[in-house]
Amino acid sequence: MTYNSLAFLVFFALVLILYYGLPGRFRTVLVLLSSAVFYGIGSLKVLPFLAAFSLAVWLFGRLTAVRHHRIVFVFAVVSALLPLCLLKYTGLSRSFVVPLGISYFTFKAVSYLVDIRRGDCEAERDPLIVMTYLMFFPEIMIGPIDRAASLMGQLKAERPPLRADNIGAGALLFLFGCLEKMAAADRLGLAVDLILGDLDTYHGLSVAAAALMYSLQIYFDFAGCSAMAIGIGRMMGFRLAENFRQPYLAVSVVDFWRRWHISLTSWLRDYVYIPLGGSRRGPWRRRLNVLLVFLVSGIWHGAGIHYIVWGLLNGLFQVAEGAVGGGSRGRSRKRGPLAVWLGRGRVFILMSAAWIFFRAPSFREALRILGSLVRAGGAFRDEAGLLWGLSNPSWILLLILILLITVVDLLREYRGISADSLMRLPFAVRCFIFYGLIFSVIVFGLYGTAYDAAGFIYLQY
Amino acid sequence: MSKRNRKFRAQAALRLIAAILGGVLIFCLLTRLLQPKYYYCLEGRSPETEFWQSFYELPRDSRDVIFLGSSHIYNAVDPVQYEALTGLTAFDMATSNQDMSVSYYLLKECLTRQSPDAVVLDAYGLEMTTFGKSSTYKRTFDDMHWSAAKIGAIRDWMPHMEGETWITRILTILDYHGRWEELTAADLDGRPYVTSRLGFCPSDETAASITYDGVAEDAGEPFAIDPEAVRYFGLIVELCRQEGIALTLIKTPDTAWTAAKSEAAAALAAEYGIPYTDYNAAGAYERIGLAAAEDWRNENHLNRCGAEKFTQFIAFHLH
Repeated sequence: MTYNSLAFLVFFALVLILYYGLPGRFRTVLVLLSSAVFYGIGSLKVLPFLAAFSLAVWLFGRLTAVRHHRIVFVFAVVSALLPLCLLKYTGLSRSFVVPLGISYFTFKAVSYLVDIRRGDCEAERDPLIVMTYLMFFPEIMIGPIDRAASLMGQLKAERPPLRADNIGAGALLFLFGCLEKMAAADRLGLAVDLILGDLDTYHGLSVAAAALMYSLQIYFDFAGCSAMAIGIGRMMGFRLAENFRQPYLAVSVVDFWRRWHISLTSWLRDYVYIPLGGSRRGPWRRRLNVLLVFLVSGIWHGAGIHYIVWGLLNGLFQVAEGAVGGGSRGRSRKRGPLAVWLGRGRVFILMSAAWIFFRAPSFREALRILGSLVRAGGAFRDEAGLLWGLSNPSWILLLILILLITVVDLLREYRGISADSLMRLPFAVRCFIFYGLIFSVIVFGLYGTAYDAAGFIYLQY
Repeated sequence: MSKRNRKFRAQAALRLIAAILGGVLIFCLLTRLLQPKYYYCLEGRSPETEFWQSFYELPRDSRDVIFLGSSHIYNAVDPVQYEALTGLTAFDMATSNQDMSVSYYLLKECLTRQSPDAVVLDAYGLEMTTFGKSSTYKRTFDDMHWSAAKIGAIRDWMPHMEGETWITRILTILDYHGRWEELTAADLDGRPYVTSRLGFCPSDETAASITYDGVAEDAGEPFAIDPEAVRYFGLIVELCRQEGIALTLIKTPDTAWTAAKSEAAAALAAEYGIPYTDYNAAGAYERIGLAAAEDWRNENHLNRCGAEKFTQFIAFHLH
């Protein structure tokens, strides 16, 4: 059950009615039960594992707090990571049902335990709070990876009253996410899949176009789903972690990774990069740590060499930028508009090149894609006259959507607009925006029997 | 609560209600825009949208005779001509690929607004496989008003429509939203249809060469009617009996209608005590006055000329 399915809409409507209808003291239990139902609809078999895992994390958290032995802490973290490693990197996933979002609740578990150890978070006494934190259904599919102090704090706080701004801002985020995912990302995906699935027919410029389109596709897909998740949480009064901040407006690769999948990047920073020494042990060790972090990131995405290459490429880009002074060190430098846009163009091209390794099913296939970039000839239109599988109206729609999302990103970047600021607009304008989004999703979204419904790209991780 | 607060809340509530109603209106308009329309007068083919518009515009209890069947009926029987010849008002309750289940539910819907004395059912539905294509269901029922008959049709068809759900049949925009790329002038024009033909869809095509020697011969194997077709035929018979309607089974001129099919239809009709007339029997075409080179749209449909002759014939010979 994905967020953009009718079944989820019905499910969430019921959850919301109960959430605000029942007394606030039932909040945690209701959210936990809702999360259990959300999981259970996928597979009931994972529920015992999730319950056991959550209870183990709660227990280890308590032990870590009262017994400061390093060995307890290490055992706890390894135990938390073990199921993910076993299910993701061994053949056990063929024998067991892999719980949805196993990566995300594993990361949350590890961050909880480490934060307790560091004193950044108290060990929670109530196991239900820990279970709810780990299984929190708005975040379980693709994040964001909220820190325990933030989300547990909200879970334990008094439930906010039913407020129009929470519902409205949350719904706005959710709808915009649906538009990004269902109308833009999935439509781009049709063209990308067609081109990259038939390199004998499509090569040269078509492959270059596919690489650029995939950069947009993965952004709209991932950011769209994140927006949906954050919107769902907001409608329940939760403020979830920001996960994307206009990443393709980054002026450097370093800047890009501060804006893309922020919750994972910050998790890697806090729980991998900093424990490795961060930037405290000299420039060469810092560069090595950056590479190691991106190696871990690549491995997390999958055991394939292409993921490792993708990760290392990003690490090398960052290291290279640092060496020439264009990375974080350059952030404080004032850049003229031309330099800014040239930087953005450079980042987009570099990331598009790296995404080829991410998109390809294997390293070999990634090399084949790269090789086909320089092949001359190749088709653009098929026998029906469709350009890369899409009709002219579809291309016009895509251009409009890309322009719209770009304008929204620019407004966020330079004017600081947000869902909350839009909720302060006049009623008629809000209605226009809401209905524009709703009907755009209904009419232009790719769903139904006519389309092969595309899951979220990051759901597989 | 102060008077000012009450006024403010009332205004907010009114705005919200207006916004919701506006949204519902837009939703309905978009649904109408994106739903496929079938206008025989524009495309010369499937007439389902036009058919329903014609039906719902009929004055209540104004029809004496209902002709029920597929394109075999709507190509062959002209209710306007029929009325001119017999003084009996008629209507073609006929849509493309109409199997017996569709005929049953169309008749049920018809009887909510009309009280005919007679129903003439074409036997082609007995030749068909019931619940053949979900596109048939959608084309026929999407424009039907919501009623017990429509709900019954959805319920019966749903197990046979892959990928369909009650939601997509109720909110058809979820099924047809992709049509935004294919909109034509017909989608934007509110009323391009013609209702004066009362369900009749004459064809101006003439088949290049039709040959026949009366009822087509077959291999001699008995024809097995689809059990579901038999079941719905029985339901139609029962419904007519309940309403005191005289039911007649016919087979319109169809050069592909074989002796085996005719025998099976005759046997079924006899089983239910229903009169059956096969207008493909030996010598029938000559009696009707059908000419092979002039009166056929294709091997199993009459064209406008053939329909005129056939309608004239049944006007004097059917009852």
